[in-house]
Amino acid sequence: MYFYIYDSFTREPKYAKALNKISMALADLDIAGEEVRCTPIRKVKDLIKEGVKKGYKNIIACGDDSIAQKVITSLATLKIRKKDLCFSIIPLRSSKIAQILGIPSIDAAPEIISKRRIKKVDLGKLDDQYFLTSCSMGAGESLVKLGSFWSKLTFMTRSVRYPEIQLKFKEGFKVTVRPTKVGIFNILDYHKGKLSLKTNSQVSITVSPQDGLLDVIIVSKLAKFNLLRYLADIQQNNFEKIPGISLFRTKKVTISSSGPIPITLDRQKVEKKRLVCQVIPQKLNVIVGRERRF
Amino acid sequence: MFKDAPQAPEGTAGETIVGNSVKLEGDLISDENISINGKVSGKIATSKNLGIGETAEVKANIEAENIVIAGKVEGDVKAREKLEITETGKVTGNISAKTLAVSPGALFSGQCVMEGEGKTEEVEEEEAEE
Repeated sequence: MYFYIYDSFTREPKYAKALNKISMALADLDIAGEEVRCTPIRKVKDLIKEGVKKGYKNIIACGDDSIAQKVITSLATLKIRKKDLCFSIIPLRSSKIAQILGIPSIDAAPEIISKRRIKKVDLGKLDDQYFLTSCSMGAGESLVKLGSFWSKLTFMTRSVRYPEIQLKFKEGFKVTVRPTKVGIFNILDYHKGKLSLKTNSQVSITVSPQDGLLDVIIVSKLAKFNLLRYLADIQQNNFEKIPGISLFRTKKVTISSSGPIPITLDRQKVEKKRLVCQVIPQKLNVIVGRERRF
Repeated sequence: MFKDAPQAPEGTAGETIVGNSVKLEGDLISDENISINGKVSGKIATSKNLGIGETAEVKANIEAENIVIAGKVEGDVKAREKLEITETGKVTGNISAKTLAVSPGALFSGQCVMEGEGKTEEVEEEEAEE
């Protein structure tokens, strides 16, 4: 029994054809269900409550990472007794979450959802927000794009002035650093979550959303030349090329700073001075495809 | 170059890495390989391997399976198997290992205990620099 929550942008005429195509595909695969659209009055949380009350077990976000993030947070925060609720996504726009779950396109989504390949995954929790993939903080997070000359200059200036932050880990130690970027990962956007880092020796690590841990990756303050050189890699979380990386694995970390820290949470941007980030193990059932990144 | 650092075996799920300009205080206790290039004070213990890079400054007692030291360590060092101090390594404190390798140029000041085939030998030594 499927409950499809459409983002408000799908109301636009250009999505009409795609929506028709999806509806037909869902009906052909016998997984059609109730379709609702979120509005300023009917928010995602209210829609999910309604769907669960009606007995739907599969909540499918239709849109992009924004609606997916809201559905995940709602599923995680609502006191829902049903343990077999599943989440998935039909990407109507570019979606990192869809790619990570192995749902490469809108055409592939209905069949993947009908196959019901279910995995139980951890969620990250940043204060009262939940995330499936990652959150990151750093000088570049408050900039929308790093493509133009002025945005690159702003990023470099901010990186140089970026305040010192302190990370206090539940495991019993604290780290003080003036970072270019800090990323907290539940799932890594690489092939099967594997990452090779350049340290004293070449190390290969696996970031898994099923291990009950978050991976904290810190890019320390870089010299101006290296900052320019690795700018694109820093923005794209391409840590394999960047020197001087730190990596810690933790269940919980408290991050504090003298100044506000710009944070990106599954593509949504906020600013905080102090935050607590922890893993909630085995929190969410997700329907995934074969090409998932874990 | 830190070429002889204990390499993590294939398929190792994780590793803790303390980068160059990172300062860590407290007890770093792990079941994974640890690689240190920054400043650490407190205690370091792992059931696997530990590598201390040239830029590292460690003020802690450390314990691991195999240890390679290429930086500065102040504290007691206990390797359950092998301890290697490279030419850039400086250790001030007591060391204990089954196998010990000290490269020319290394600095070591303290007591050395080596355990081998049921026989414990205590060697008090101040290793000279070349």
